[in-house]
This record gives sequence, structure tokens and C-alpha cells, in this order.
Amino acid sequence: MPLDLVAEASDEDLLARYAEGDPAAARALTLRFAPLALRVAQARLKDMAEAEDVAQEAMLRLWRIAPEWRAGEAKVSTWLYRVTANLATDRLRRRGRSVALDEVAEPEDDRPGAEAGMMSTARQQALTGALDTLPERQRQAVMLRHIEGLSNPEIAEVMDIGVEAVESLTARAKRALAGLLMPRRAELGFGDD
Amino acid sequence: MTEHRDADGRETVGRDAMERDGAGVPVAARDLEMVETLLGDWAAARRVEPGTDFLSRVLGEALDEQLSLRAAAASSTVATQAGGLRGFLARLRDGWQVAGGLATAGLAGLWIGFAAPGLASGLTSGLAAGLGGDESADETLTLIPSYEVAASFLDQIEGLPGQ
Repeated sequence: MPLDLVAEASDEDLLARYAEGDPAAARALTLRFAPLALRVAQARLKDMAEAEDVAQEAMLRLWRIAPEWRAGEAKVSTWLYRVTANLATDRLRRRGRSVALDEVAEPEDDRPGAEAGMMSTARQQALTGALDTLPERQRQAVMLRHIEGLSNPEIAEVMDIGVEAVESLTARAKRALAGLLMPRRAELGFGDD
Repeated sequence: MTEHRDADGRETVGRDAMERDGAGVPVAARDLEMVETLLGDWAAARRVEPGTDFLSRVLGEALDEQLSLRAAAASSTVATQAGGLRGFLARLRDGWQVAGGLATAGLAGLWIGFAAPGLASGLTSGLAAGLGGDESADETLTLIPSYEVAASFLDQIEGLPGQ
């Protein structure tokens, strides 16, 4: 299959071509979906080695289900998101840790200077603290959009709501966050003007 | 908030509700920009880029699975074809045996029908001698000579391999 056609092919077409034995489809699907699986796994596990294991397992399940994939029943990305999230949850349970979608590890700060590092940490803590006060569905929509990188239609499928509802939840969440963080502008280094 | 359901029964939110929500939380554009910046920084700090080792492993597994799928499909096709061929040969063999049996029985019938009574009688006498030369046996066989000869042929036929 020519590369330009691979790039333009839909997810379902690629999966069908994979099942038919097209190696170009295998490459395209890997590049298209392995990063998503890794991102979802890493957001939950916060351990790259474990996240890679889980993402690889999720992708393996995708390869195995390819011949039986029924077009139109689910989006490939949503299916993969759910499989990866479930595998990561199982892994967390085995670890004995609580599962929290918005559990946030301290970000690595590669900017020079202790002051910058402290500011970055303060911002992350302020943001996650504000996120914790949001209604669950608003927080979930923001997490899926900004941390796990899903598109609005994908979030709509995951949350089983309409795309318009996703947009509304995200917009309201951001307004609520703005309201919560507004008094801390100067503290967070944004200035007053 | 006004909630609606779309054609699939999923929750949607009316534009009026969004406007009320917006009016309920008065925020300046700069505060929204601050939130966007915070979310962007947070996402960037947590963003993971797959390494080439990881992608190679995933792709390697994809190609292995693809080969397995193709091998399984090919094996299934061959098995179906072989099964068909085996079935055909089995049917052919059985058919030849049945046809051969019928032909043999038919020839035996012809031979018995055209054979002179004397020959049949001699044959039955020989058979009776083989059975021990008992008179009652000789009489019995003499009564139904053609039956005994036909039975002998049928026994041979039934003794063929594959029956």
C-alpha cells in the first residue's frame, strides 16, 4: 500500500488491511496508536517501564482482534483507550495502589535554576489542587483532553456523552479553574496586569 | 443547567445552559489564558514520547502476529482443501468397493444361473465334503446350491479390506 494512502486511510481501513497481511498497515497503526496507548498508560502508572509493558499488551490485543473487528461498532482509538486504561488499572491494583485518574506525579523540571523549579512546582500544585475541587465529570473531561490527549469525539465516546456536552464540560471546567486560580495570579508568576 | 438527550440518548447541553454557566462564573480573558498556560505546561511536563525501542518492539510484535494470522489462515485453507480431497478419495474408494461388490455378485449370479445343474451339484458335493461329508449337510446344500455359492462369494466380498 503506498505511503500516502496509508497516511490517509481510516483507522478501520488500516485494521482491515493489517488483518489481510499488509505490513505497511502494521507500521501505520503502530505509529498512529502506540503513542496513545503509552500516554494513557503513563498517565495512570507514572512509571515508563510499566507503561510500555501495558501499552505493548494493549497493542497486542489490537493486533489479535483485527481479523474480528466489526466496522462501525466502536472507534479504534476509543477501544484502545479503554483496553489500555483497564490494563493499567489492573496493574495498579496488583501494585496495591489506589487508582486515581488525576493522581499527579511531580513533573520533571528541566529548566535551569531552583527558582524556576519552585515556580513550576507551585503552579502544578495550584492547578491540581484546583482540579480536585471540580465536579468529577468536568475534571475527567479536562484530564482526557489535556493530559491524555484525546480529541473531543473520543472523549465523548469514553464518557458516553455528546461532543457538545464535552465542549461544555471543558469550557465550564476552565472557567471554574480560572475563578479558583485568579486570586493567585501574582503568586504563580502571572502578574496583575 | 438544561440537559437534553441526542438521538442516541446521550447527554447534550443546550447553548443557553452554557451561557448561564459562563455568566455564573465571571472570569477575565487573561485568567482563562492563565489556565490554558497552566494546563499546557502541565501536559508538557507529563507528555511522553515513545522511544524507538518501544515502537520497534510494538511493530515487531505486530508483524509476528500478522505472520501468525496469515499462517493460521493458510493452514485453515489447506486443511479444508485436504479434507475435501481426503473425503473425495474416501468416497471414491467406498464407491469402488461397493461397485466391485455388486459386479462380483452380479457375475456370480450369472455364473450360477447359466451353470449346469450337474456342475452345481458337484460343487455342493465338494462343499459338503469340505464340511465333513455329512449326508444331511449334503442334502441341505443340494437343496439350495445357488444360495451357498452366492453366500461364499458374498463372504469373500465382505472380507475385503476397508469394508
